[in-house]
Amino acid sequence: MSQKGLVIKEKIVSESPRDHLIRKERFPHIWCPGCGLGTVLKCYVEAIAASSIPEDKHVVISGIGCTGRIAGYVRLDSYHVTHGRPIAFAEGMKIVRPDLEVTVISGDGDLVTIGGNHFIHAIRRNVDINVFLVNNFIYGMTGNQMGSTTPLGAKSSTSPYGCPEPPFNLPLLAAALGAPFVARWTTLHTRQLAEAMKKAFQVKGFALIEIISPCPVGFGSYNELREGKDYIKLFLENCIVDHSADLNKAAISLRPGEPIILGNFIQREMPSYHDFELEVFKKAGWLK
Amino acid sequence: MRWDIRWAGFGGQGVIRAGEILGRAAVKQGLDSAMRPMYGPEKTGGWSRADVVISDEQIIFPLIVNPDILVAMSQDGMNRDGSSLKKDGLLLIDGELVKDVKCYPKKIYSVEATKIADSLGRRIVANIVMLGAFSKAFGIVSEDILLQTIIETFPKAVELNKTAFKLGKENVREVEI
Amino acid sequence: MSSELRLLKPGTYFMMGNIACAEAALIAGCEFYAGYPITPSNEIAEHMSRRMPQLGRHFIQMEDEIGSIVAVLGASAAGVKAMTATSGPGFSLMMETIGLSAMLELPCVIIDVQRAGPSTGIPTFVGQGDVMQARWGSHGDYELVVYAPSAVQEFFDLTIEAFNTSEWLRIPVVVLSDEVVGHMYGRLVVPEYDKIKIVNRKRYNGPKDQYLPYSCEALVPPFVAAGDGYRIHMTGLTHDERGYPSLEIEDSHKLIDRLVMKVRKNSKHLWKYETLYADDADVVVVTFGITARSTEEAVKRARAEGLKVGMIKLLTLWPFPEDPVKIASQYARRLLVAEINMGQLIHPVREVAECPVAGINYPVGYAPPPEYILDGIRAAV
Ligand SMILES: Cc1ncc(C[n+]2csc(CCOP(=O)(O)OP(=O)(O)O)c2C)c(N)n1
Ligand code: SF4
Ligand SMILES: [Mg+2]
Repeated sequence: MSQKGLVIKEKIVSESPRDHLIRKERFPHIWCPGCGLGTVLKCYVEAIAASSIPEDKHVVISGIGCTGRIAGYVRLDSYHVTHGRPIAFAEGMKIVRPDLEVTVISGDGDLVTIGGNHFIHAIRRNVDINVFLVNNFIYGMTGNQMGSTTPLGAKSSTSPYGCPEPPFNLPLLAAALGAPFVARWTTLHTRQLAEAMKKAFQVKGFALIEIISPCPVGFGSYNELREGKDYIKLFLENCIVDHSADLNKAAISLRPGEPIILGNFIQREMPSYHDFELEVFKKAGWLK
Repeated sequence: MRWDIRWAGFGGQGVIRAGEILGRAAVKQGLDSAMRPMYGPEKTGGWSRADVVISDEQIIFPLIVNPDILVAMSQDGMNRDGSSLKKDGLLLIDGELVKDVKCYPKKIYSVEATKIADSLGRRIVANIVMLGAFSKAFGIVSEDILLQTIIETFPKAVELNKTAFKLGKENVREVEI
Repeated sequence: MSSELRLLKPGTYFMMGNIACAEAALIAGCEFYAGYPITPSNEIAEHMSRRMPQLGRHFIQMEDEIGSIVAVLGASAAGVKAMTATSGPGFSLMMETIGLSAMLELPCVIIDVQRAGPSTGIPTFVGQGDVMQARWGSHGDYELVVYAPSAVQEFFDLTIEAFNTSEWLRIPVVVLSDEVVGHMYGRLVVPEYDKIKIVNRKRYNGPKDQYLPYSCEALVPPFVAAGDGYRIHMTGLTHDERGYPSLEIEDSHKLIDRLVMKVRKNSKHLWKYETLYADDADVVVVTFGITARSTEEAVKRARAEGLKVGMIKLLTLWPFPEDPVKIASQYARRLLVAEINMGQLIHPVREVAECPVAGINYPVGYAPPPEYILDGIRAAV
């Protein structure tokens, strides 16, 4: 929740078939009007409801940030840990309980800036977790500071002259590290996003979905995207869906004429950490 | 009765392993023992030291300031630790590698442990030759239990180690000071 | 089944402290180990990497110490006993997560094999400079338990105790060992298993709609694991009894009070210490860890010289065992605190002592020889 953000009480219009997956008693939520996080939450519960995995086996883990609050709104086993660390927490949990479907939903700053080391190593190990990384190009919660996903030149509360550093190209990074599933969608592409989430649950190994999400009150207010509809326009006009895109060109600049490339880029089968560990158990004599 | 025994040498000579075996044998025999391994920062070839305390009572302070016995497996070990030997202490050296005795022991024993190990084709058993010599020269731990501990430590090289231990016992000599 | 595929059998061993610690963790029921290499704790990780898979348990080498302790909490949230081991620099990196462990009430065991500091210090030399950090290192109000072994046997015993305490109170427990105790070989007696007390966290299995994960009814609420079907929420934010974030001061008070009181109210059960000649002593030395071994020798020699000296060896450092120190200070003319640092444990001793307190400090990276402690004692007498 940006310091500039308004908290408005959203009226819950009617019962939804997914209500049992939401901790409605915690509403109103903290997110600003026009924020994409509600959509991310909706897609997640849709994907869970549509998945064949029992709800009690789903676990969601978040770090700190606006996105990090998602764990607190989902009626699943849910853990809201320290800033940057949800992936490490998820790894410990998944390794001892391979039967759980462990999903990390957290922010860009959380997962790839302060938590970047855990991110790259979890992919390298191919631990069987899902990481839904919400990229709003900014540290929303702390007041819109730039981070490692802020496009070069974009303004923020700590880049008044424009961000002086180039951002991560996350799909390229994850693909290079060997992730078996890498996708990127925006909160406008709800159907594709929920589908990708469902796929991620099926993937054996690390599944990454980068979710481009509006932050009109934070990032937007510095970068001519002041309202939700500005983002809708951006997404409608600038996004290209290309599942077989050259990921070298998938960096996001937000400059006119340079599209945001979306798609389910990588889908491949490979041994996961669990398989590697079973090999160790055999060599150690525990398993035949 | 408490014995403070310092083994000194360089990495790769099995100094610490010798200390561990000696301590374990003592514990098997119902004595108390503590062993403190130490080595220099180099990965191989740096100095190494095993401080073994053996006592028939529970050991209170487990470390060694001035040993009763110094086992020097190299000249460098002698240079480093010789001066720590207690006045009237006992010294055991690898007679081939230690030429310059830098302390004033009551008695000096010598065995050419490395040369004997080489003659067996395995330099790494020099520490076992040294344990054989130690056993003959000082006793402290029963020879049978010590040999048994060696065998248990190296179950795949029983004969080699038995021979090394025996040759150590047979070849150790008291040196005239 | 080969004997390697089992727990260490009851019997007498001659074993390195760090390895005794690892074997103790296995006996205590540790199912998950995560760590990052650092001297002088490495033997624990090395041993666990070999032993854990032999027992079908999990070992992972993480990318850093933060990842290690966080992964330990993830495993703990899944309901298993979990641990990590480190030394100074890595211990510093773990501080934020120690607070998370306290806040989420996820049990975990942290072994800190102290080395000489500050900063990188001397990795292969001993230090006792983490006493205050272990207690106060994470921000905010919380309590934890810190044990300090002075021998291989104690390292073994206190590691099991650490798991038990951590499970009982749902708190982080630190075993503050040191380089000498970690690397030293010593006699270890493993008792018959039925003589070893093993505590497992209390689990909730009542009706789902009545479960309050952070209920204040008892000091330690019963636990549910991920996957148990209770749809639990845990957060590092200040939370109410449901586990939901709360800005209500009353919720905050209730929570913090409970986090602190579950240790404070049980202090007397948690204190472990041994006294020697403390009853009639003019001077009593308070000490712990390897320094206690030097001190005991020094005290015996001092007695032989006719000096009326005693000692208290603390096996629990936190919660600080106030009573024995206070009582000793009511009879003695002076308390001395011997430690390998420039003065840390001396502070809680001063807080409770009713006589003057002075330090015997030895900051150089070796265990102080008994003679050094004896000089301090003579000066005080
Ligand atoms: C160790 C630590 N440093 C800093 C913070 C402050 N902090 C809270 S949220 C946040 C940024 C979150 O950004 P992001 O992950 O992108 O999430 P968003 O709010 O944008 O969804 C920071 C820096 C913290 N909680 N912990
Ligand atoms: S991400 Fe941006 S819009 Fe959403 S709650 Fe945070 S500051 Fe507000
Ligand atoms: Mg962000």
